[in-house]
Amino acid sequence: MATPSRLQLARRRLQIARYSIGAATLTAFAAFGFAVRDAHPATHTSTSTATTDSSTSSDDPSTYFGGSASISPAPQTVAPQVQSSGS
Amino acid sequence: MNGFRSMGCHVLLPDGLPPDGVQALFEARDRRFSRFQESSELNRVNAHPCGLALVSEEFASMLSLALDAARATGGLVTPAVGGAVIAAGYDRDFRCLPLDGVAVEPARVPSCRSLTLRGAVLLRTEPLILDLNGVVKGQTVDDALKLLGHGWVSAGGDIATTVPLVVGLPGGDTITLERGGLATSSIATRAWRRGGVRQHHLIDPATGSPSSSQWSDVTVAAQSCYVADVAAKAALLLGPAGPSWLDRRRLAGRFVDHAGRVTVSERWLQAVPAQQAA
Repeated sequence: MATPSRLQLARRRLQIARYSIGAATLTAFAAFGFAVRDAHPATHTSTSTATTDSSTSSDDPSTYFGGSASISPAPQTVAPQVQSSGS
Repeated sequence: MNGFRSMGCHVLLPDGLPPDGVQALFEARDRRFSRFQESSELNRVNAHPCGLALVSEEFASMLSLALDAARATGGLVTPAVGGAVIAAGYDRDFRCLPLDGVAVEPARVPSCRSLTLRGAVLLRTEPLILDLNGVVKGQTVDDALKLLGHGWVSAGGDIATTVPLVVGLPGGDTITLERGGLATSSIATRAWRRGGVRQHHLIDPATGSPSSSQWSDVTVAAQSCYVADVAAKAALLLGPAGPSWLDRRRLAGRFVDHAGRVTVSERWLQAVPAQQAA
């Protein structure tokens, strides 16, 4: 069996490189396509991670907040254990 | 007092509890989400503010919480304010921030519609600089308490507790937080000037500028510190509509205006009747 010439080897490497680049491009394009599709508002479901703006849900009290924590007056003789001073 | 410094504030725990695990949690979160640590994942993601990015599981989880907060507040508490915060001059650790500088222009806050998160894949279809400050600290306080199992954790006044805790409030009142979360959002501290105009870190997404709310401090009690913090920020940004917004969500809130006058929501008034302003 004849040994491939240097020219044939170079062509084979070039062909492999072209296939690799083609496959990578196709994968990236598909990933981008799916991501763009997901970003489109028409594809959003209630579990979508993309959020809405102020026009849609600002007056819709939801279960998200889950009600208040229990608070009561502090005994007057007890100094605060911690300060909620704001962040 | 038992504690340490992290995320730009003092973290406190009950005396006698070893802070090691909690400190490791805070430091790990700070390394990942800080705007001021060059090598943080947040800065890596923000270095290319448009297009596709792969993020860690923890980053995706925190961003997901931030998007939940944006949805629940009608976009008021949004992770998309990063560019506006920087435009207001808050571009380095607060302790290194010049007190005044050249005048600044507000930056538009993009809608979260231009942001999609699917698993570890983040897509931004327009330049969008993230700031997760609105959720990271509160959630880390909640997670730290879970780590302890019992007791309380306070980070700069954002608190989660399983035991009754006497808490001091802006202006001098005190309450007992029986269990759950309590957070105060404030524009009274952490302020600076640009072109002589006062700036602070709480951006109104509608204007891209620091909020001009009538409230200087808003404290909210909720089931968790994370939710209390989100609600306090939203209520502060809403200005006069803040107390009724909390009422509709059955949350107790206490508002202090710039003159030091106190207003409370209905829930707060029911629980602590003496603290309504005269």
